[in-house]
Amino acid sequence: MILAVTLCLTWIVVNLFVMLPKKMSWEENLFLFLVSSITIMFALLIPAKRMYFDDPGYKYSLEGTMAFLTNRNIIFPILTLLSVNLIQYRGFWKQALVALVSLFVFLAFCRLEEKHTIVSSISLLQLTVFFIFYYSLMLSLLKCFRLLAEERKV
Amino acid sequence: MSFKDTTINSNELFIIITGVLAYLLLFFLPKRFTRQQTFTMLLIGGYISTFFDNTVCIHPFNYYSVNDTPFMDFWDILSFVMFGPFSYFFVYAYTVIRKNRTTYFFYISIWALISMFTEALAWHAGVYHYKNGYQIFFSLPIYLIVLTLTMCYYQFFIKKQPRKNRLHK
Repeated sequence: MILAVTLCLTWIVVNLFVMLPKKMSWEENLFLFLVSSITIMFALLIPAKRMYFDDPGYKYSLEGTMAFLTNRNIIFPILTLLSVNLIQYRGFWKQALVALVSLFVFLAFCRLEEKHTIVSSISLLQLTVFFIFYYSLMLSLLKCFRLLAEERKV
Repeated sequence: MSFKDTTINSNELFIIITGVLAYLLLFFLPKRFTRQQTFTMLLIGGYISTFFDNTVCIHPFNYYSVNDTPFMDFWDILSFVMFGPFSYFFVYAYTVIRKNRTTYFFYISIWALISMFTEALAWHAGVYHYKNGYQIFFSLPIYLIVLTLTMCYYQFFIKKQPRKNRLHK
């Protein structure tokens, strides 16, 4: 059941990304997908440690693991791409709205599918702090990536 | 959870020597790509390594562990960084050789065999510890898939670019 729900969500998120008018180039989208995936994989090492480190007392179905992997490697990075593409639109209020909606989606997703996203229970405050750091990191890395192209033009 | 030896052994030496040689070669090779492309290729290598080590190693698969400790340590991260230049070399060499319609098939096959040989060396050095019946040839389809995806990157992001945007020295 959980895998079916996750795959449907994946289909929705991927299609939202396909339909979205892109504010970033394909190179920037690929770069952001890679760095966001790597960051999420490292960030989940602590909350999902029972799954990662061969805990003999921990039982997890194959279906659950597949849902977790789909969330970790497809849904979260593509949600990041959606959000960062949308935040490129000019205007403070538009950007603030995108950031707030992104935070809400992130918190709701982590809470509703807790066992298959962050695996262990984490407080809303900690999740919010993580999201702020994660989102700032993605925007900063994107800026650095754009600088790499600009330095060549000079 | 068992804690193994954390002093510098053959696995750490393998990571240091391979990593340093790979980055030196990357640095001294004539530049053929933009900085963004080079950085993206390094990330592709790192991503592939991180993805498989954080997927095939986790419950319920648990097919191998990396380095000496059951948890992620400095050497594991360094091994992900070490993999970066190999995607670069894969694309770089493909831009250098003469190609026809079948070249990519043989090129990917040869690189998959080289990757398996390198993995065997890493296994001997103690970078990988296979578990639950995992054998080295199980990695072959993984290499074929990731090398094909890296080739897709070349086709869609480098080959399609106008020639004037590429660096040639």
